[in-house]
Amino acid sequence: MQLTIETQADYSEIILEGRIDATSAPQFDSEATPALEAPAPVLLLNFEAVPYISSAGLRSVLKLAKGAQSQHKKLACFAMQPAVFEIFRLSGFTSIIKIAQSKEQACEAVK
Amino acid sequence: MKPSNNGDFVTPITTVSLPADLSELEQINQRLEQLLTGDMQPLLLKTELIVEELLANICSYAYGGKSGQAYFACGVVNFDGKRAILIQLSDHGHAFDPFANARDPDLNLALEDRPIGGLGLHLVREIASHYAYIRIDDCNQTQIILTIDGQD
Repeated sequence: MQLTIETQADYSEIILEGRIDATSAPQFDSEATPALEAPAPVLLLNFEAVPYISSAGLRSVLKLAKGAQSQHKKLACFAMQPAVFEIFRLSGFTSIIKIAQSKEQACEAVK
Repeated sequence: MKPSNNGDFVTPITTVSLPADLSELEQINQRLEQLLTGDMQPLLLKTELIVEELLANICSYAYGGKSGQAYFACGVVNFDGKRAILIQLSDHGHAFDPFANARDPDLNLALEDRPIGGLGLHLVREIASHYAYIRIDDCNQTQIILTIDGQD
């Protein structure tokens, strides 16, 4: 998995690439955390290039979402592939984490 | 495809013994990619998820933090006359039925109240068409059936 953080004035975008599973989740945890320290009040997770997520990956996303909430930042995911969205839905994450089609819609969703 | 005796309806299954360690996942997934092609390819990601969650469960609980072996088998079987994927994971740990012991997570909790973790077996139960636990020959064995058309 590759994780890149692009920081803009009004949001930080975490661009994810590859599988988020038990082997890559620790890397997600350590590399995504700096985005919580960025001054931007919004965190966007770009899931476009993520073909697979397991419960270990969900745990990492939940930890990040809780971290964002405790720092009064808003968080949204976008461009999720159907298979990944299905795992979020089955886990009940679609009611606690905002999921949008595009980056623009994600920005709207957290306003 | 209808059942026939020419051997292409089901795949021969070999049980593989591997260390109960999540670092084995990459190799397992390579095997699954080779195995699940053609009409079974749409079930690849679901199969990988089920194998990961069941292996993670063995790694965490079967041997009380010590190292041990896991046994993994997967292939296409004839299930009620239809091609389906059988996934089988076993360990030598103390008798433990993961499906009986995993509580259903409360999916209605707010973000701040949701506990971290506890979703793996929930996902297995949701995705599997059928699941079974067997205590056999001093081993815990879980068997999953994944059908093409879902829960039937």
